[in-house]
Formats: sequence, structure tokens, C-alpha cells
Amino acid sequence: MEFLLVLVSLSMLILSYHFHVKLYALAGEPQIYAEVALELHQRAHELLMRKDHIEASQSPESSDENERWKNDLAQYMEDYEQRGLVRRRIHLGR
Amino acid sequence: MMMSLDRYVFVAYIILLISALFVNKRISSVTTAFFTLCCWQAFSVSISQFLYEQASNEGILFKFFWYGTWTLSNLFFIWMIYQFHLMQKLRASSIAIAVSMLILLNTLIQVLDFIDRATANSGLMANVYQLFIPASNIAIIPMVIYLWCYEYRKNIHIAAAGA
Repeated sequence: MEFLLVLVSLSMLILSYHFHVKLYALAGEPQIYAEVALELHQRAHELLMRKDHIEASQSPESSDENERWKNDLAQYMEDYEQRGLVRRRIHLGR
Repeated sequence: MMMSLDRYVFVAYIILLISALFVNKRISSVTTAFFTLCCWQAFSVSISQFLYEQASNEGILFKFFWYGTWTLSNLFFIWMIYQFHLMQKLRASSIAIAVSMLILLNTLIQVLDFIDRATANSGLMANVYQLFIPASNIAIIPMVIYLWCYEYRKNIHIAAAGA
């Protein structure tokens, strides 16, 4: 009898802990934000690498390449701003 | 004496909830946590007299009725905080974590004291039980106020930095 009651108590304690851990998981940065941040970081890295190549080559077609690089950079900055606005709305509710 | 102390704590929780509703003006993680705290304390104030009468009977089943009811109600309130966050798609604040942690520690003490009663009956946990539960119920109040100020400052800094 005592054994059964102790077993019931312990299982309720474990269930409480389970829900506490699930609540704790809701406190962290959601997975999707981490993935978006990683993708933006990789794109920024790639843009920097391309700029390095353009500056190093100095060939006649480099001005054309430079134009394309500037367009990509503008696109990147717009994406960054959009995602920043989304994050701000979700995290701060405004 | 203990009874009236419980009621003062309940009034303090209600004041916390009302001030949170005035400051946040919407359902947030903070208001949810304070609402749960109020429900938890109201339940404990309303039912403790009845449970005490039952537990003063002899027999392990009557003892379990006391401890088991607290454990089950604590389980329900921890689930309630989690479920509110899930339904409202809220991000859990440190205040909600602190309240959940308080109820979890409470459950742990209940279970340990019951195991002691059911097996060795050494009364080792009895002092911890009598002191920890009322003390932690009062200690949570300055703690959540501190965490609340901390989160408020942090949010201001994030907003100033442009998210």
C-alpha cells in the first residue's frame, strides 16, 4: 500500500518536472530564429569573400562584377531589415 | 496565525497581478504567471482547513489525502502555466520560470515529506516542510519584482538598440 502511494507521488513529481522543463524550453530562442540568423551570417560571409575576389583581380570585367555585388548587398540589407522587424514584433510585441 | 499569514500573501499576489495588468495591458507571460500564483494561493487558502481535518485522522490513506492533494494541485498549476504559454504563443519570461520553479520545489518537499511519513517516519523533513513552504511563498514576491525590473530594463535596452 505504502509502496503504491509513494509510486503515485513520485510519478506526479516527475510529471511536474516534465511540464516545468517544457515551459523552460519556451523561454529560449526558437529554433527558426537561430536558423535565420545562421543563414544571414553565411550570406554576409559570402558577400565579403566576393568583394575580396573583385578587389584582388582588377580585370576589365571587374566593374561589371562590382555592380552585381552592389545589387546583392542591397538585397541582403533589405532582407536583414525585414527579418529584424519581424523579430522585434514577436519579441517585444510592437 | 498561519492561516492569516496565507491570506496576507494572497493579497500581495493579487496586488502583483493588478499592477502587472496595469503595466502590460495585455496577456503576457508575466500576467499569466501572476494569475497562476493567485489561483494557487486561493486554492491553498480555501482547501487547507478541510484537508487538515482529514489528515488528523489515523492511517496512511488520510495522510496521503493531504500530501497527494497538494502534489496533484501543484502538478495542475505547473501545467496551467505551460498551457497558457502554449495557447497564447507567449515566450516564457524568467518570472514564469521562477513561479513554475517555486511550485515544483513545493511539490518536491511534499513528496519527500510523504515518503518520510510512509517509510521511516523519522520526522526529518517535518521542520523543512513547516518552514520552507510559507517562507518560499513570501520570498517569491521580492524575487519576481526583481526579475520584473530586470526584464523591463533589458527590453528597454533591446528597443533602444533597434531590436
